[in-house]
Amino acid sequence: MSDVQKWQGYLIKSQGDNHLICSPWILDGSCVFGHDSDYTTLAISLLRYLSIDFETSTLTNIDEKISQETLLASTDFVTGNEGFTITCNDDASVSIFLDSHNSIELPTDEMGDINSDIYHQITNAWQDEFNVNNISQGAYVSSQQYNQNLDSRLSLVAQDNGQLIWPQRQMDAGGNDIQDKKIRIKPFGKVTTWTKLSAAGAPSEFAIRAPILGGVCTVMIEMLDGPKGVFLQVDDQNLTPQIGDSAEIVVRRLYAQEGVIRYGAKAIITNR
Amino acid sequence: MLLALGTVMVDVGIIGAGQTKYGNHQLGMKGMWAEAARNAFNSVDKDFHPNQIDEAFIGSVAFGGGQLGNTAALLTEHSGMQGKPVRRVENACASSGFALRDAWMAIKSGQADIVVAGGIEKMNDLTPERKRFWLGVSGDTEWERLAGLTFPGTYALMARRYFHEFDSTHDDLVNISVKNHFHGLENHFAHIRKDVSFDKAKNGFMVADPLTLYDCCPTSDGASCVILAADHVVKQFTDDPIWINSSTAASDYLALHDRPSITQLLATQMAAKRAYSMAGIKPNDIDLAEVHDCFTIAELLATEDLGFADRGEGGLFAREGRGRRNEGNTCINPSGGLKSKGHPLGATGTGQTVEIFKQLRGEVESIRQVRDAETALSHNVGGSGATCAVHVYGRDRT
Repeated sequence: MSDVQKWQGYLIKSQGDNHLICSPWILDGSCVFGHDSDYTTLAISLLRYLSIDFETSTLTNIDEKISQETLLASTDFVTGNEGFTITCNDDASVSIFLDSHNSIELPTDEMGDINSDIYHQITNAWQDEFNVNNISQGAYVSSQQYNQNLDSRLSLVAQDNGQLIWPQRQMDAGGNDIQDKKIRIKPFGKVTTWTKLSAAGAPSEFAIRAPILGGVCTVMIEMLDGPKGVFLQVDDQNLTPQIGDSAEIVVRRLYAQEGVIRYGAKAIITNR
Repeated sequence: MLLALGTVMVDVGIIGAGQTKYGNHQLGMKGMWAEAARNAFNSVDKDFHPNQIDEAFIGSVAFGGGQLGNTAALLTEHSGMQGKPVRRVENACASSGFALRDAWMAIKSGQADIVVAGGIEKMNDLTPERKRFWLGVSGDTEWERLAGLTFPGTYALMARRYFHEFDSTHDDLVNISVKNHFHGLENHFAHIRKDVSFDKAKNGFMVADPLTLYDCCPTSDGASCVILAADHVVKQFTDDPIWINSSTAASDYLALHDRPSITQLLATQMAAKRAYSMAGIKPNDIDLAEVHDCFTIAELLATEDLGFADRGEGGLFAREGRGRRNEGNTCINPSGGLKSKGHPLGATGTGQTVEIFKQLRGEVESIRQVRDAETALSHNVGGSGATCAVHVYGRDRT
């Protein structure tokens, strides 16, 4: 039986207090990131995995290649003096350990080949998108606006007002203030409808990468806890959704703008 | 408030209406507006001068990011209306539908006797890169846009869900596209005047699965202008006014994921219900309707939400060709609709009124004339249904 866990589109191996999460993609013998993944998204997934079984939720050291703000907003972990250390490896993997770092071998047998041409095009596209001069046209989501709902966006935090409200609102449908009670909704649901938008019709935030990916795929998910939302399907899942599919919400790169990576919730189809 | 307005004694008539051709214009926005206004002024049967106008409401969305401020003042100074109280009205694609309602209310309130409602959009003067400006500007940008959605995508989500819930397929949308292109074929103001076969529409380039290019309206430049008058001054200008017998509007959650259902537009249902009540008529009294078909699925849903078809039977309505000119009870989009006539966002609402004014007065190209047309409806939607204005018109006051 394999000791490798498939988790949120990644692979995880554990040895005692040492854990490794890596991309499932391999290119020329090296583990490489999927089209919308990086060290931050790997680290978020690993912490979410650990939060299932481990009571320790403190991070002592976080590798500087990881967006600390995004990581903390996406999980229940906090920073402190005694806890896990997270390090980014040379390949597309992240290690986490409590006291001592033991090297864990990559589960290469579980990995699949990634299309070389698309991989290189996407990598270059991210560089272009990351350019500080790259800004959206038309509607524009400022950093301030993006950050205001970061807990909703990254951790699916809803308001508990008798019924769960997600994304969060200022007042309820009756014009009443909403109680400050917050709850994290479970990141699972069903596809209620979907579309794949051609590259030409995508918002300008996705204009550079959409032609390479053949468009952008969006699903509407009815969460098991009730609320509905629209999410991009993760970029490296080459699967056409169907109504009724089961889906899990994970964190991936959405786009880059003004030199900053914007992360957000995306959907992985899990039943096929 | 609505009840009070509905009982005010002043009735509102349309005394003139005009528009530019929709399409890819060489004229700038000032020139387009002047042309629409000139056509409206010239359509008034008796002597009329723009200095008789009391007030103006001009709908537009964004002009591609140019001239966002003081648009109405800039435009109306090019149509002999300088000095008048004017303002821009913005409610996405329903901007001039709401401008029309604002103009109607200005007269109903007794504050004005002659009011202009118009709309304009210049969409095609942008480079291909800058044309992305128009994509996703009127949805819930913080959530829908960041999920990759622009309006083809949001309407595609609705279409796929509709097919899942009801006995309908993409073929029903194809029938709507074919009908509207047929209706627009002889409309000299239409952007796309070509007959489109079922096979061609069915197999068009996939824009947002399941919607093809032939399910989507074009990106158009255009302007439209309507002149309204209080009943006590109407006869100074025409003996053949078209009466606005009701003007209603409603709104809904902006984002699709916040709505209980995405296979019906509640704002349309609410506005339509009030409109019929105010006018004292029923849906089957409507001879022709200019319906907001930014995407073919929008027309299918509208036929249900406006009461022309029962819930879940919009597909059947389209399949049986009940909306075709002079074939069913109610002709849907005799102008060709947004699909063929075009969709210069801010101009669309009052552009619908221009078509209705001419249809009810028997002034359209003879081949396009809806027979015995007495009562009409316009339905102007903003975005994916968050705003909606509905107007009912008649040759007679109700």
